[in-house]
Amino acid sequence: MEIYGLLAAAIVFGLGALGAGIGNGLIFSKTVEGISRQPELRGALQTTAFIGVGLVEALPIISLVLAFIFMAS
Amino acid sequence: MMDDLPALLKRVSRIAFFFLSMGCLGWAVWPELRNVFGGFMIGVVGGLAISWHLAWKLVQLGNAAISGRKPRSGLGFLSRACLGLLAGVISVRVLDFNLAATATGLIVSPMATLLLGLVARSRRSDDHPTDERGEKH
Repeated sequence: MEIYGLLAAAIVFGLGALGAGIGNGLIFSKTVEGISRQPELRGALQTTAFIGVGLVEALPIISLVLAFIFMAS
Repeated sequence: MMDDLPALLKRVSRIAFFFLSMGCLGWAVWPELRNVFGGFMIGVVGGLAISWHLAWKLVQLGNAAISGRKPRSGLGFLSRACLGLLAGVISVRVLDFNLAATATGLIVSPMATLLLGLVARSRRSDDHPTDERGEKH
């Protein structure tokens, strides 16, 4: 049972972090591109990026804690 | 309109501090549930640290994009995941608090960010209606 818990934790956090990595990369690349094109829109772009990253990273943080729960069980 | 990152961060911090004060209240009123409220408070502090770190990184990113130089540090998820992990380890392994409560506390700040962002976006779309061609004024 213990090995299954470790396996589940690895899968949960690995896939969550993979999705977050791809999403963060897209968000930050577009933010840098937008700020470079129009520096006067920096505040709006930073705020939108902050909200987007908050949305993207909520899931892997939950998956991190779920991984802990699976490891403990 | 919420185009200002410090203003958004201040609102998120205010919501997190509200939940932190609720945790302190629960800690004081229900002593038998101290492991739950303690874990929740540590989770909220960890989530708030993640939000502050993310905002700091975004400001650094903006500075680097404007000045055209390469940013010194990365922007990935690893440092923020480590902050969440640190909060979880301190809460569960060191202080022996509840893990589910710590997880709940960790997602308070991202959820607050998400809700504030959605509210700001809906207000913005109400303030600037589209014309018949679907373009914003």
